[in-house]
Amino acid sequence: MNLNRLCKSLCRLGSVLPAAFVLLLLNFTVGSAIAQIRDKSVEELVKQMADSDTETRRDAVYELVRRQSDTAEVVTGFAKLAHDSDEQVQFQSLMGLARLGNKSAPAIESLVQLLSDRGDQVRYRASVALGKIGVASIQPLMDGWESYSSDAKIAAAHAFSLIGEEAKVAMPRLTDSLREGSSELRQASAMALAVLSDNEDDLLSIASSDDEAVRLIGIDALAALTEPSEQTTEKLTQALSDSNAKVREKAIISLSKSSLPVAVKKQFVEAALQDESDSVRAAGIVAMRKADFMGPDFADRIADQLQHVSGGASNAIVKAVAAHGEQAFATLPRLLEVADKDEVDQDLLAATIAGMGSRVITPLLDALQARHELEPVVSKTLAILGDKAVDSLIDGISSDSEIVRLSATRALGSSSNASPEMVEHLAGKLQDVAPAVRAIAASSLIQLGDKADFCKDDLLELVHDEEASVRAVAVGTLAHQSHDNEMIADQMRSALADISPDVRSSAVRVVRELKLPEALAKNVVPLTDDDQADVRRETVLTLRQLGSGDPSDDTKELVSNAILKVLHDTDQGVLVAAIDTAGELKMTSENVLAALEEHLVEPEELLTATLRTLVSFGKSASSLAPTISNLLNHERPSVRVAAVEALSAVQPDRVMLAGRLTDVLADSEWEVRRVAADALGDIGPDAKMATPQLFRMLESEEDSDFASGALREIDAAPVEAIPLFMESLKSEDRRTAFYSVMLLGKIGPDAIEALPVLEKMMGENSEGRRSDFRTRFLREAIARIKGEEIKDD
Amino acid sequence: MSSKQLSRRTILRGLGVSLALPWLEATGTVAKAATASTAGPIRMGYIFVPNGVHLPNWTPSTEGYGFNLPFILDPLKSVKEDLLVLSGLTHDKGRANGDGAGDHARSASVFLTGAQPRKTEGENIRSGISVDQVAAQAVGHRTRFSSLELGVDPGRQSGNCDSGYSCAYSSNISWSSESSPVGKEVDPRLVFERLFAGGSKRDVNQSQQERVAMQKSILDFVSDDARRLQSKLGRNDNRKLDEYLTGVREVERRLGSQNEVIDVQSELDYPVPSGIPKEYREHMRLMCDMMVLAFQTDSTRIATMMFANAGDNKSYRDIGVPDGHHDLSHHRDDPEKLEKISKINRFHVEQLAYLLTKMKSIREGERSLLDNSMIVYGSGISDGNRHNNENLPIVMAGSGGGTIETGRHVRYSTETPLCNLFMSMLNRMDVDVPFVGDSTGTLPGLTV
Repeated sequence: MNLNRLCKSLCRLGSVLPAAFVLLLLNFTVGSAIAQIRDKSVEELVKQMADSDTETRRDAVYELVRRQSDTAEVVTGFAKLAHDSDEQVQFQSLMGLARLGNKSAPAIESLVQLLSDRGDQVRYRASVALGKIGVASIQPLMDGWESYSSDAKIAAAHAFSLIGEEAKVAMPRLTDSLREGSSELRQASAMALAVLSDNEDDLLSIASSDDEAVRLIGIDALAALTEPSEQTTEKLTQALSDSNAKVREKAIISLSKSSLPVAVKKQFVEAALQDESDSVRAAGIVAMRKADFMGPDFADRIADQLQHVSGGASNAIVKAVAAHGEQAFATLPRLLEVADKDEVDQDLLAATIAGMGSRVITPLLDALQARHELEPVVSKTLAILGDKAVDSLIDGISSDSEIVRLSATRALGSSSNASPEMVEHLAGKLQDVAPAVRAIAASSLIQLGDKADFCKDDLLELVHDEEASVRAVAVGTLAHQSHDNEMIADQMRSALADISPDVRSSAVRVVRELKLPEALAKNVVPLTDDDQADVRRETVLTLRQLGSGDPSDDTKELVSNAILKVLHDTDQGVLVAAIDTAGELKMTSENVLAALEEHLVEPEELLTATLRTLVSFGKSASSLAPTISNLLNHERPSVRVAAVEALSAVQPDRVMLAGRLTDVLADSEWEVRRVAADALGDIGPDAKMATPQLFRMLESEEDSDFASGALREIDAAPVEAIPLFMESLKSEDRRTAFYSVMLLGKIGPDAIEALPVLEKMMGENSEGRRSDFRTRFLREAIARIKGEEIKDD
Repeated sequence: MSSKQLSRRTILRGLGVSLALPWLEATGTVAKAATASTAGPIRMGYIFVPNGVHLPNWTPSTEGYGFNLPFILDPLKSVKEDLLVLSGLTHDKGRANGDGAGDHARSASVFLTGAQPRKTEGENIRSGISVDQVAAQAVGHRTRFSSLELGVDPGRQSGNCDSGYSCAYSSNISWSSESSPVGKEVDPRLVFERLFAGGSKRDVNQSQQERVAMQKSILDFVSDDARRLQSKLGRNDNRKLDEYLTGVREVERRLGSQNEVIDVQSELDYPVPSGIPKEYREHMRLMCDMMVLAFQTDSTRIATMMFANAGDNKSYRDIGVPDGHHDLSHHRDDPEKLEKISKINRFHVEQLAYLLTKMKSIREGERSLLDNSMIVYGSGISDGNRHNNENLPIVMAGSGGGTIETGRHVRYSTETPLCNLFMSMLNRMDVDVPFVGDSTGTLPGLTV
């Protein structure tokens, strides 16, 4: 079996075999293809670099770059191919030269030329290669400087910065560029100078530029100095009042790391905290936290800032406070003031407060009684305090205040190290007078897993609690308990008939999550008539699960009848669930199809859901093809797209389908045209009537990709299109001309009138005016028209 | 018991089960497993999302500290200070460069390789070695598994998936050589078993069957060892161990161990995945849990994950988006589609937030697991409509053991290779290579 055929076989296997197996086979197969190139000597690869075939050149350069071959011939080859018309050959050669560093010096002249290339990416890659070559590039780069365009100077400046210190001789030119040309050139020059110069005066000069972007580069460079002079410190201090926030941000960070006296640094940080820019304020706080020179009193003061900042600055302040641990206790009231701000990270806040130690518990619980909205953060804090808070929590769950009991109960449940004593107290809350506390206790106990096993009977009792909200939680917890499924099924029978919709909804979910016995289907089905749409929707989802797999015939019938009934529901959410379920359970009966046909109207969500389901039905839904076909003219593009997909799935007559889809190629919406073209490609040669239209679409920039894909898949063309293709043979557009040749060949002997023109083109090619690629397809087309056998190259 | 008395390699064993331990005070830092000189073992993770993002809802409007979180990134609020949003990075090798259509396949294959894939349907695939595998080949021997490759969509490994590009390009981001993609595991149950199986194949099979038959947990098999260990640990370590075991149990419960059994023997004949959750969100989260467990137990320090394959077109009905993801990415600036694609992008980021929050909650001495990690999340395409490969949506989380200054949005000049970030990450993993993909050096600005 040849490699091609083996790979195609693997492609088919790919859809049915596990990834690892296919990859193994593929690697084995590909191994031999790779081995061919790996076996070649450097000399052979160098020769291959000059081949007229693009793929062959690509293979050579990729392999040579991989090997890091560094012979003179390789460098010469890379230098030549750095001007190749194929982007991959060109870019890979440039990368090869860069990777070889100073060994690529013979390519410098070629690379310098590329600094004036029209393409940004070419200039960038050439500059990287010159930079990596190093010292030898300096003089050639400087020699041409005066003649460079602004873009070429930017690339040269980049090369100098990559060369580093040894390119200092270029500094006068770069300094000149700081005063001329575009802002981009000024920035590139500044960046290079910042790298090359170790003279503070140079950097101070850049940091004083009128150009904000250049100034920022200067400040950045000054900030990196390990031992800044007084002048630099002064400059950085001035930068704190710069008009550009980024400059101020850089300045505050570098000043905070400097050797300035702590008092001075504090002054700067305080100034930064008053800045109008969020990022500068945040940088001030970060600077303070990282430099670790502020005491707890300062934490107290910055907490004042919490009221005045927004966004990330709030969390940065909280984080800064957290660094002071217990010493930041005085900040607690201010932290609580912002606890319910949206942007404040509740976990961070709780961890910060918990870091202050157990003395926060009393004030926290006091604050909670005054402001119930603090409950989440208080509960989290208490949970983090864990062992330290256990006595307070046990007191808390007996408090007269309901909110305190609630918070303490939640905290106990969230504790990662709940002791048996704590669990026992928690279990006691299952009988609390407040329903909310009972509900929280139930869900908390479930989170504790096996530790709460001893009270599972108490939890079970809550299923019959007088409060519906508690019953709903209790029923939901059954999905996570280790009860016998039969026993849970018994409980569910009554819960499914509960007066509260929340309980019914919870129960029907439990049936689904636990995959309870099919026998419950008859208890679930009545809920398709529930007066609450949410319950009906949950019911449909549960019926879908009951009907999946391999249910008994009775259950299958029960579920099918129920879904058929719900297909007439009045609620849109329920209907979409039912339509999807019909698709998943492959309910292709006439009744279902009739019900679905009714939904092939507005609203759009129902319409598209129905079309999706019909796709899954395939040809079984062929009776609906005419209705779907009408939707190809629907006003909404998304519906037209779904209709194309559905029609393609259900229409058994491929020629009729091709005819309809050909019309759709004229749709005003790109996506609709694309989907139709893909569908035509899937039909194959039977869709050849679409070929002329697809061919015309090659001229459209936005359609050409999918049109060419479809043309390749259809791989045939009608005789009527011969004049069109012959006319297009003269097209300036290479792709159009190429497809004209190919499609004339596909028509075969009927395209005899095109033969003279094709043979003339072939003759021109032989004179070397055209590529090998084109020659191959011309040869094939001519052979097909003549009815000759096609020979592989 | 002091750290001298308890080996960091202590594991809990039972029939067919081998449970590695998380960082404990008694075992010292997990870092010591790697080198004696560093403060923590650094983990490296990469998460790929397909079809690009809606950039206006992704890119923070301000740079530096205190940046805002736009709609898509908003779910990362609680870990914002642990993030570095990186704008302007480019994958030049994701561009057509003369090869025409096929941007989606290229976007996945280039994501971690930085190498131009050869346009072919499978006969002679060629990409490059991905950054995770560069690291795995250099430092993977220090852990039980050199690397972990995770995903959610199975995907085909051969055939044409995108305009003439092999499906191997669309379905994989990890490549151990230029022609060898590393197949990802999509079944969380198989990953779980791989992480915690131990002993002979017969023992492993017996343990699995017994667990199913008796509805037992993996923890039941190591309970004797666990009790013995607990008696030797201090209070803090006992709490940590309890948190960890509870976490393992929780994951196991969600995997639905009572219903699934995997015949390890049949692994020889390539097992059919059987434990894949139906819900996409739950599936992604379970895979995230696997990554966390693997990192937490130092079973590996290198992981990759594909939230979906390149060009994926699944719909997201649960979040009110019934349209296909790929179809929507060709939004053509239709406001309705832009809103929907933003919702999908945000939904993916929510799962990232789940992963990062979990990593942040796990302590390793003075730092968190997240602090000791570098998690890169992003796409190989910038905008799904334009199919461009510059200014890629990239966010990195974790400070690489305190070597990266997080809490910032940094913008780089266009054409700065994304591979330069990978080089900087490899340096932090003590991996010394001259280049990766099309890198031209390391990435400045990660520290201040």
